[in-house]
Amino acid sequence: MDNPTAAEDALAALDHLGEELKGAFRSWEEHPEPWTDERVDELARRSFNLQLQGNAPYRRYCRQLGIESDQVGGWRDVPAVPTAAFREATLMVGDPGDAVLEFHTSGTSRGKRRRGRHLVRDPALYRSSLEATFSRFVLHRANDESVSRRPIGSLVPSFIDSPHSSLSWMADAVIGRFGARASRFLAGPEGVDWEDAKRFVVVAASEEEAVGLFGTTLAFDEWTRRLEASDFRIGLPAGSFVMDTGGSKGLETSAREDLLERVHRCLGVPSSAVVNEFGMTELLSQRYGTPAALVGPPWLRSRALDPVTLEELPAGEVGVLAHFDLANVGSVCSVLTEDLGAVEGGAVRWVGRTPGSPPRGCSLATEELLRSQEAGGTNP
Amino acid sequence: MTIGVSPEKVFHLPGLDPGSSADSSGWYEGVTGAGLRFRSPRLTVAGASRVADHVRAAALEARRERTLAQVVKAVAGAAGRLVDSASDVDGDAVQTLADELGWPASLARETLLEMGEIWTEESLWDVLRSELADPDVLDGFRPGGAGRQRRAAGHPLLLQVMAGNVPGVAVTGVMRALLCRSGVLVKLPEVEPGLVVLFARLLAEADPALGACVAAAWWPADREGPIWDEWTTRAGTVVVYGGDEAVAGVRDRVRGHQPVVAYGPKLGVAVLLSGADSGPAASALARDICAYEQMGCVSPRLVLVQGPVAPFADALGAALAEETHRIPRPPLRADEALAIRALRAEIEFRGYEDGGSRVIGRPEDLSWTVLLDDQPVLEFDSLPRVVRLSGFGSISDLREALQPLGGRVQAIGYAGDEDGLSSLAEAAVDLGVSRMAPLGCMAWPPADWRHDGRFQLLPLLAWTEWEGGQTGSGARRRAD
Repeated sequence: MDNPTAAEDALAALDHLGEELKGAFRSWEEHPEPWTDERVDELARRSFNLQLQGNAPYRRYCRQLGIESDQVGGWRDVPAVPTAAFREATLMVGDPGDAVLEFHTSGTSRGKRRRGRHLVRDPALYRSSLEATFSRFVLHRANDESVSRRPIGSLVPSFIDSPHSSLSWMADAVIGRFGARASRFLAGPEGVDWEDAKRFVVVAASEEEAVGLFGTTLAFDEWTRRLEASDFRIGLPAGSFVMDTGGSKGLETSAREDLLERVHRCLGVPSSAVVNEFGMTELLSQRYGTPAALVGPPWLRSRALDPVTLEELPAGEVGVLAHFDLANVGSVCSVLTEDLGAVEGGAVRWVGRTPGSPPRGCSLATEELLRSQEAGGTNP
Repeated sequence: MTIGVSPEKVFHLPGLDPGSSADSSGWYEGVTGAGLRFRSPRLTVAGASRVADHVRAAALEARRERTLAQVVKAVAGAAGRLVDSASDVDGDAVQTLADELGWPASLARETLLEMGEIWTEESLWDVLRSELADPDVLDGFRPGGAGRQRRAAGHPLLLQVMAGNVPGVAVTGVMRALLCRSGVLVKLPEVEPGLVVLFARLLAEADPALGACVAAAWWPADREGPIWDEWTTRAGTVVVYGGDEAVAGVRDRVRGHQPVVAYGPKLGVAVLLSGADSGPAASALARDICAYEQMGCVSPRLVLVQGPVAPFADALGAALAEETHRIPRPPLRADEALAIRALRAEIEFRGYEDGGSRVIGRPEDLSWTVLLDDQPVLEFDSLPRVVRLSGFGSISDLREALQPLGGRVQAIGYAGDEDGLSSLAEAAVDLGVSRMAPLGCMAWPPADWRHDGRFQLLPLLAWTEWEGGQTGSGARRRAD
């Protein structure tokens, strides 16, 4: 950090704004009122200023783009960092040594082998955003009457088994806040224990207790295929929910319809109680709903941009998605993804991950070289 | 426009009865590099078989009815009409390429003109003479020493699969087949299917007997179909241009004894030796980078500079800006734009950490990009006007840096003094590089270049030896 005073100022501002945001997130959980654009813009200016002061790589990036703090009037003006940057630099306000959590991306973006890192200094801020949105978009959807604790079974391993997975951290947090005593992890380092998963739902059905199931879209896909193959049918009590997270690593639209039908047939959970979650390691807030309409909290804003010019596209037009997330105040709020989608009425329609560039002409791609080397390709 | 290629009908299928449902049933629809939709007939087994028979018969007849000199003249004549600005179809060729690839007409024209250099009669004879001591062996039996005579000919039917190539190479491939006196069935390149069809139609117009030796169509590579099966089975040799996956796919289809000649994906490396004059070298390299939008196996995607790299990187940036002003870059696709942005962000942010990596190129303008790596990094992306640049110390360092690419470096473009070049050439041999050329010449190899380090015609040819004498002479001849 170039200037110790500026760094201290940035940290003080971060702590202050962090506390304010936690309060605002909790308050929204109780009273989900929309936030005005003016409010988000004001918070965006403050978060941008402190990130400019306290996040050295981001400051240099903004300078490179020629953006100074007085040019940012609102959240739309905040320079978005491409997700690729998380693979190369430590994007955090303050000393990386103070990070409490270090999340890693899956490392498969565009075939690159290096993983991105997202460092988190204040897990409580992450938790408050997660709890507010999970309560509002998952639990209320599954059961309008009550968001009381219930047994939650997780098809993703716990954070102890997977200490750099933001999804595992999320599962821990969800179970900690919303899970009843019978909640448990149905997966470990070796993957999902399918027999244990089956026992979990059998017990819930026999005790007529509504449960929650948490996992990746692909895990639910495999589980329900296995259940169907063994002719397993059970009716989980009303109020049970399934939260699947997929996005780019999930399924095609047509396959999703099949999955929802299988979840209904095998577990008795209607599609209205299956909530798709869209999250990224680089963002600490999430969107929920269906891939066709993913809604989020008022502190998470999204835009679809023209991929070449990065100009914002009209509502409903498909472009590259950029998100602005105030829960990211400790790193960078504005993130440019490699996902394609459209934004309409604040909801995101997720279309897919942009494919890596297809092979062009007769030029060799790095990936092809790596594959041939892994396959024992010869060197002269 | 009588001969131009309409996207509705992208094929050249002599012998096919267009009105017969026995020969074709409906259409395949493909999408070119710029997203233009086109159609090619969905041949039935009978149709695919009829075309193959027709081409085979035409090739055998042409061996008797046409001399090699007539073939060379007709082939070069048809190709000449594609590139001669005075011809009636030059505009069609430029437009076809520009529409299919989304290229500006100026870039399409320049590409055709450069390709045209290796399509002339003189160039075709150069190829023939560089591989055959006596090209007349393609016309008839010729003395082969010790009283023997030899004749060479390709299989009457070649299958040429274009799964990854730069524009124009499919036409070059067809020409090679015709020089070998073969008939050729072409699976068109989806990104730019029209040029081969245009060439075949021009050839048929000039000499119907030779035009009947070429058939061309497109079909989806990943789908089973009568054309794949019939044409692969009937071809004597299969020539495939494409990535490892495409080549493996073709090898899976052929029978055990059927030769496959594969041209795989490769890359070019530009090397600036110490003492080279940066200004002219940067301008020359910028031309090589822009020539094929980094799509070619000879396109310089890595630049290695001996000594300080920053001054040359800046000079290259300036040269690319100038070249882009002269020949604008084609519009970027969404995936290309995003990939360039991601790559720039990677290098930019890496630079904040290591202090050496840097992006040269204006942030708001993706027309061209120079990525300066602190250390030689063997990552390279095939993106329009994107190049990675890093430094090296000695030639042995360079040799070590390129070793992991073993056999995948097609060309080294160079600038530097003679002493350094000799060592570089030695390294090129050890690394399996098939070509060294001065910067500015990387994109356009000469006609008789040993593509992929191999002969072009010889792998397609089979020889027939005729030992003279009469029955029962009994004596075993000894070669002189």
